Amino acid sequence: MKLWNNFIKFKLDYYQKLKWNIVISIVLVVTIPLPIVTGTLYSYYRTYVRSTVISNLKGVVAKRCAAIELFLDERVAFLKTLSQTKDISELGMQKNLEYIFSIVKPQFGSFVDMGLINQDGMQSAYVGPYPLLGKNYQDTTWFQEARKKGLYISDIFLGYRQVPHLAIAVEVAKGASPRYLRATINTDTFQKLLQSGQMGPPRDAYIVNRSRQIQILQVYAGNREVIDPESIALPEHNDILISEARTIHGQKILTASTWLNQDRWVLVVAEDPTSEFISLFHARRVALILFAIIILSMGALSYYGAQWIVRKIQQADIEKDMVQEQLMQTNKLVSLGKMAAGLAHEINNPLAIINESANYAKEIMQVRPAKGDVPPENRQRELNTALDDIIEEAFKAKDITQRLLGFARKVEAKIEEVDINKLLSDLLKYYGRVITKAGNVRIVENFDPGLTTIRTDPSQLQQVIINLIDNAIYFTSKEGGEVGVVTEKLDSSVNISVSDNGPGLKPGVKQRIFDPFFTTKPVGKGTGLGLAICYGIVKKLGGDIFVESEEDKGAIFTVQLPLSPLKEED
Amino acid sequence: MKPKILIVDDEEKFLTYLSKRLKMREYDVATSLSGEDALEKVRQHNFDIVILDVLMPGIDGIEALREIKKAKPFIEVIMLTGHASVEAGVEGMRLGAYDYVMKPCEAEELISKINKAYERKVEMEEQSLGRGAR
Repeated sequence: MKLWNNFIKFKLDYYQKLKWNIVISIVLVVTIPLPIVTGTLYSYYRTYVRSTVISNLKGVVAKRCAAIELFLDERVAFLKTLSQTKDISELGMQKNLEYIFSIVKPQFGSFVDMGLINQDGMQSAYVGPYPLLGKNYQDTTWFQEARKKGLYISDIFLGYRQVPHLAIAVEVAKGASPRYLRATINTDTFQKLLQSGQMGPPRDAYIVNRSRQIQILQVYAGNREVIDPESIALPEHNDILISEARTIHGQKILTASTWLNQDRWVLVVAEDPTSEFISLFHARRVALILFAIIILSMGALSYYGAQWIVRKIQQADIEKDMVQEQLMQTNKLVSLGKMAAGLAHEINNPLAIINESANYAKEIMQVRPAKGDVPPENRQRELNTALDDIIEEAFKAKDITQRLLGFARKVEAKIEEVDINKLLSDLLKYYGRVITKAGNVRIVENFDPGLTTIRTDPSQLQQVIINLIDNAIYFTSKEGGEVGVVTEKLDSSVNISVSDNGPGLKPGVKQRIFDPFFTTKPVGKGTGLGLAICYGIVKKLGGDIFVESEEDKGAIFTVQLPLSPLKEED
Repeated sequence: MKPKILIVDDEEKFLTYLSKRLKMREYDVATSLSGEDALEKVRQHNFDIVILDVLMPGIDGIEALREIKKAKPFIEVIMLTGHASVEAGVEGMRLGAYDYVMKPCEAEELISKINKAYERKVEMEEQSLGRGAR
């Protein structure tokens, strides 16, 4: 039973292993291409998102740039117009300037103040919230630039008033004492302009000058980090540059920048570093979830699929085993039938003799005056001989029936001490003789007298030998067929060889000869099971079976059984 | 006129008792233990009928039948078969044996077949002689 349990355990392990192999291969087949596909799609999507972000960013920069330029151009144009239409004396009067400013202020809310500066840099008239009348600007940059170029738009600076602002100065008129009209603009307006052209998520915007000093910044709510001005890349003239900048803490941000105000300022719009990738993060999360769902569902599906397949295989195996078991049983019965036929024929011989001698005895006693009658003086002797022969033949018959019983008992598989030579000679006596007589085949025995008994199953061994002899006779039934049955004792085994001088094995037959359903006999003559069953039995008995053969030189089948006792199943 | 009979069987005792019983009935009986010996005797003597066992070592009954018919076509042959070799008996008849008898056999059955076979033999010989005379 232990052996059987081990066998079952082995089988179960085998099926378990098979199942997991199927599951793993299915999951692998599915999961290896999956990351490649998702990865590719993700990368395409990423490129697409990036290009969308970039084009949005460019659009925003272009719009804000246009808005700011327009704003500045309007202010400059207005101041220029003012300077053209009023003569200097008129503007120079404080009263006039106040009058003009009172008209201008509601229209252009962004003007903070307005002043007139003479050629020495002295503010001679001023309208505005600060006490700047009489202030001298001679040393300031804007004044010097305005004198040179006739127009100057300053950077944003704090100035005397300590409030960030921007100054625009235009030359009023050419004459003996040139004067400059100067107006300052509130940076609040810029803040608004920096928000213009908003598309998509709010973006931080900065205006820096050539030396990357931040002029104005528009940073949105939240604890977003401010850009590190040093990391801003300066664009080409009339171009929008997309580049990666850093925040002051080193976080990378995507920026778009373009020149403003006659290439004196750079407008920088920074993409929200998180917003750019929000959709990507989202896509990535969806991909990961899908991936997990696919893997899990594939795993589950393949697990159940594999379980189903393995169960089917297991069923098929069981059915196959059952069929094989039935075929073994059939072969056993066929062998037994052949043995029985042989024995029946053997019994017939003594019966025929008994029949003859008994009839003879009876006839002796009948007194008939005939020529052929046994003379009376001989009758007693003849009678005695006849009766003796009857008794002798009756014992022979009894001997045979007992052997038959012996064979019948051996049908059950049982391991016992077996004298191989005796088993073979009995077998040949009662079985071999019949078939050889009918098939005109001679059987040559050569038994090794040194053969000791071995522990094996005699009935199964007998079945193997009958199958081998049947085959040998089948293939040698032509004239002069000779079948050799030879035993030989080796160091640790016993060899039983059945040889024939038949046609031998054709090339390629040898490898398949023990396969089930393989036969070279014509249809209807062989099942292809005899040798397969022999193989199965010999292996079960712990032995081996092999064939040596050459075409046209007969074949030798050798059964090798171990001398050491076979372990009995407990 | 009783026929001359040759009985061929590899079982010596069977041969002995069968021949004794036939002798009692005043048949002229000879015996042979093998196919080879039987062929020899058939060639040397004039037998009318051969009773031939099918299963024998060496030259078996069927083979011996062929040879006998080749050597002496007018000899009638009765095959002796065991249960396992009825087919061989039938095969023998196909090859020209007169009949077959299954072992163990009733003496009366065998004798009747011997007599009938002998009648046929005589008939065939007369026919053949008649043809020769014409």
